[in-house]
Amino acid sequence: MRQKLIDKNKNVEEPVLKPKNSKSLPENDFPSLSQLLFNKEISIEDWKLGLKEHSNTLSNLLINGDYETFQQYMESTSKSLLEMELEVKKETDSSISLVEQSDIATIDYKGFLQELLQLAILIEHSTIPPYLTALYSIKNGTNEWASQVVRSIAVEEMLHMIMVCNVMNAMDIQPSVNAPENYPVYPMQLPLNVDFYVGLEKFSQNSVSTFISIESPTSPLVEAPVYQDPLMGVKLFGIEEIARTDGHWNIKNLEEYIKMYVNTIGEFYDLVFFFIVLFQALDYYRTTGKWPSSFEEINTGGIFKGNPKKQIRPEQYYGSGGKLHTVESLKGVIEVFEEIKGQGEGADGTVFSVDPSQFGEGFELAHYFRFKEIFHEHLYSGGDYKPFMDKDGMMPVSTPPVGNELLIDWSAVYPIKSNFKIEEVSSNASLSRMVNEFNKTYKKLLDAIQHAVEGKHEELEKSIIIMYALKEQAVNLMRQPLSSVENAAPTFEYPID
Amino acid sequence: MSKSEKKKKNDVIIVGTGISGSMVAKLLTDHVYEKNENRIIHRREVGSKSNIREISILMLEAGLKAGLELENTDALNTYSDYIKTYYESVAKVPNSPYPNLKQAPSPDVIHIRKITPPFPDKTGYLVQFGPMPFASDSIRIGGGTTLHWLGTTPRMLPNDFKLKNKYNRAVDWPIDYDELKPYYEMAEFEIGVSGNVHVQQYPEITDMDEYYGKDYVFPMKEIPQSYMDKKIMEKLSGENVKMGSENYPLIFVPSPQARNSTPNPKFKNTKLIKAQKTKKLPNYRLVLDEDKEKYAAIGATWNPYLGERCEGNASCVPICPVQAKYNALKTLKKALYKRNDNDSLTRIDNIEVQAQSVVYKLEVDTSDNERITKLYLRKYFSEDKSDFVEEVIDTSESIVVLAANAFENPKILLNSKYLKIENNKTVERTVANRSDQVGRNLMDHMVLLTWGLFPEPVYPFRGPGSTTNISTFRDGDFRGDYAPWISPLDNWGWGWPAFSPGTDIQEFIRNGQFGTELKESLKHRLTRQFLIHFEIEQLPHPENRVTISEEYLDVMGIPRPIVHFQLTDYEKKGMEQAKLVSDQMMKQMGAKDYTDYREGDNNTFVYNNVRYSYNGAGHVVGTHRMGDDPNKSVTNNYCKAWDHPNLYIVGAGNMPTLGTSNPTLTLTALAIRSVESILSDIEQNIKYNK
Repeated sequence: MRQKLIDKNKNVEEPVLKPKNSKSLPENDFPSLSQLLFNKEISIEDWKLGLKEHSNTLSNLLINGDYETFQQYMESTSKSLLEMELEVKKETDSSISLVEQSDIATIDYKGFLQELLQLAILIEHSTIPPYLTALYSIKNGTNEWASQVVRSIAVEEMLHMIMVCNVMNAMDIQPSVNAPENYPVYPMQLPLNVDFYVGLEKFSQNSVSTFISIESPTSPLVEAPVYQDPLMGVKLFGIEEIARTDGHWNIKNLEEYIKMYVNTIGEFYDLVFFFIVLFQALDYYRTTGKWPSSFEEINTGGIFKGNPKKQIRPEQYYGSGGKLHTVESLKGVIEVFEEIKGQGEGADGTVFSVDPSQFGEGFELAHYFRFKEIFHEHLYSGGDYKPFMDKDGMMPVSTPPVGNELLIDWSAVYPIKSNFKIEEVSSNASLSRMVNEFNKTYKKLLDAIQHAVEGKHEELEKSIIIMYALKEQAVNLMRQPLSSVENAAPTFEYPID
Repeated sequence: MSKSEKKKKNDVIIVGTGISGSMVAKLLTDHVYEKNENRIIHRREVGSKSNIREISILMLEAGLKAGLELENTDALNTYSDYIKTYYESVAKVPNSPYPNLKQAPSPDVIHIRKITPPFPDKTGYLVQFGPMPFASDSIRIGGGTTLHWLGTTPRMLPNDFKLKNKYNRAVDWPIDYDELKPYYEMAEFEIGVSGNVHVQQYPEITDMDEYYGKDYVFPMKEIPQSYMDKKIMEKLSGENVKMGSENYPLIFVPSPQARNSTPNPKFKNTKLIKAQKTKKLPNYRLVLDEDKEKYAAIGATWNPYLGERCEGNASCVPICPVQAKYNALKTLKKALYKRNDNDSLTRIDNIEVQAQSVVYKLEVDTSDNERITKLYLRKYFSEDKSDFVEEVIDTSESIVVLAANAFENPKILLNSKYLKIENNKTVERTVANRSDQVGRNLMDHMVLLTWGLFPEPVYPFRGPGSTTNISTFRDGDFRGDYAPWISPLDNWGWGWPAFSPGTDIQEFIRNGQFGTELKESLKHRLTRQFLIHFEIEQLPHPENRVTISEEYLDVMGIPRPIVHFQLTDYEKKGMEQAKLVSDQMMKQMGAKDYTDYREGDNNTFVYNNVRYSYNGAGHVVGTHRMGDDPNKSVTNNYCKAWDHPNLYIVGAGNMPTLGTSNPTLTLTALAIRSVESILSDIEQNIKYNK
């Protein structure tokens, strides 16, 4: 029963169709989809602008279910593609298809999407240890509301991770969640255009404000804590570059693009979505010889040739908000991405409707707002937002909650060392063992998810039991003093045998 | 003390927010009056909103206002306080998490004492004349006793409804199993029952397909049986025990239970309970209809994602830490909140719940068909102070539903006297009591516990409180002679009968043990402890009753229930037979029997030279029985008082006999069924007062 915070009434930009064959575009403008895809001569700047514009547009159209405009968009692309081909034919007198000649047609789509979707998994995964660390640091029997919120959001991040695996399995791409390279290293910067660091910290105003930033639909409200000498960032892609083309469509450019233009997790999913649609359209072109014009033409089949038995199904998930969607077609991908974005990760509107009924019982706030409630120690519900509303009844997304008081005891928390590492206690055998035991249990959790997404669904049930063990071990660690002011903490590192 | 008269008229006034009151309120607020068609329809069928009139309801609850919080942090805080109080309490009895209010006291098992007739025991809220103390408790709190119920939800068996006809014992019900069956389904949906219909197996029923219905499924899948149950079944499944001259196979059945588990895809969507107009009296019939969304488990009142599955905390009694176990606050919430156009839940304004309001008397207008015209209550302001205001509510245009439990309902009725002229003589009458059955036939299950050490660890407390029962002795020809029983396996070690583990520690320390030796002894003992529970049916007896007297009042001047209670040979012989069965089971399991009944036990007796002790089951039943004859029963089979046109009395008190099932599911089915008649009365009232 979640309402969308994405403003669905926002007008979707009409696709812009550029004059054919224009080799340089006016400033602050961007190429049409056909130019972006099939014109090898556009500049790298135009390529980036085009990618930004079209990934947003495509995702807005399909996630909001506007199939009609989508059809116009694809038809005009198809039309201008034909015009471009005619033009080429006139000049060169050859009849080779522009699509076949394009850079994108040479990309190994599986490898390409695997890189992108593994990155999505990493982004989702990277939020889980910080949320769990904050959760476990809250002393038993205190801050119950906050505990339940953080716990619920952590579980929802696992849901997102599993749904990304569903998307991968739908396209017969093997997901990986439990290998050493799947582990986030803290403190880390999300591999996007963001300026804050995510770390393993106790439940505090600082850590909650970082959580608000992670889930932020716009720019962060509060400066993230500055770490001295961050150990390392995260490399965007694996060592191997999958796609090697001479045009703009290569991983290096995409990496640059993401660092420059992708500000929120939601925008990242838009980009992934763009490529899934693109590869599906290319596949359609290969089979039919024409560019697809409607959603139905690309919804099923094509690159969706995974084994449906590997999909994790809704009844296998509970314990937090959201819904688990299976993926067998593009429609399923849309549902997954809508769910992930809707739960507050980068809902890209800057304002949302403040119909007071939306803040009533049963209305589930996105993560961003739930963290804000904790941070500001008030609920949205029971508050009067009239002073914040504009004439259309909208209010800035940053509006703090002014409803019922939510008492937070920031002191009822274990004083754990931030971003603790096992190597810091290498001389203390028993503590070192405790840390490693925790890491083994965490690995078991990832193993259970890995086995489940490989088709052994019953393994997922084990994760519940593992979560209990995880909490107990984490709390035991958090009770071990390292010094007079700091205690140990779980490290969420790959275990040592 | 001041007196105020309430002006606002309500269609329905419900006394009590426990499962029966909340269920009635929920079903009523799901419906509205359609002005054009002059009939009541389900909310979902509303065409134009301008044509409807909402049904206005006032609910009255004796417990604290905090106990009625259903939203957000307030609900969480109240519930967390309950949990903390439970964790900190020494005696973890069913009422231990909840406030025992002086303004609305509750019977509590820690107050039960041995009675030395003729002197009553007055330790607790109940004034117990005995000779046997009534051994069960209940709690006066928002959501009622479902907060501490175990949550086992078997249906009654067809023969339970016709003891007189079949076994020449007690009375027959005014309705039979088949009549109640659709309402059982509604109750199982509303409560949210988990279980596997296909493995249910009961004596004297050859066709289980017919009992539940061929394609019937519970809303949620079976909760896995506990490790202990599996170990016991390994030893006993397929074994026979001798009773009298006959051999009986031990039938182990996974219990249907009101704890959340995985929704059963075959149950499909969530349901609507919808009133349909019929020609047959009472002119409305409730039916189950498909709703739009997939069925989903209902979690905690403040957080729908907490308690979506049972976590096996084992503390079902007295409190489920995550609200995976059903409690009536969930239904109360559905009564107060409905979906708006935005698909959000909104608090509707045609239902009001007034807390800290202790109803104690009804008034009758003899000139107006003996309508209940006034309801008296005392409203207190804080837990600590005994100040109160007197409030009188005009009920002349309302329907009054007493849903305050089988102690409070008769207490209110017996406290409501009125004068009436009959044959030119003024006589004093008691409300709803033409039959003189109000307060009579108080029943409970006698819980005979036997306990022992299993040959290997069974690890009690793994999983919920109870997941299995032995159904063998629930029915049979022996019921002409002695009481039947159901045997749940309890997952609580010897906590209940022997106060383990505290007493075990004491014993070992007394024997000079400490350190590793003590640890090993505890490990050996505690992991092997098991408990079998023989829940004996008690028959209705007119002298087992609740009365009141001016001599025994609570702090607000309201009478306390006076209880007279004893067992007959029917129950005693049942216990004797159950113990003989237990002895055989202990042997077959290779267990060491530690069962020990003592003269000092509160509820103990000697039968055929053997001592038996028992506990209460918390099943307070029978004090306002339903029936066919106004001279022999308090209500008709729709829970409507025979003597008054606007009074319903709902709850376990309606049950003429007890059977061997935990009564909550059955009382809920009866309360749901009463709504058909209430709707019909509401329709008449609206038409009449227009």
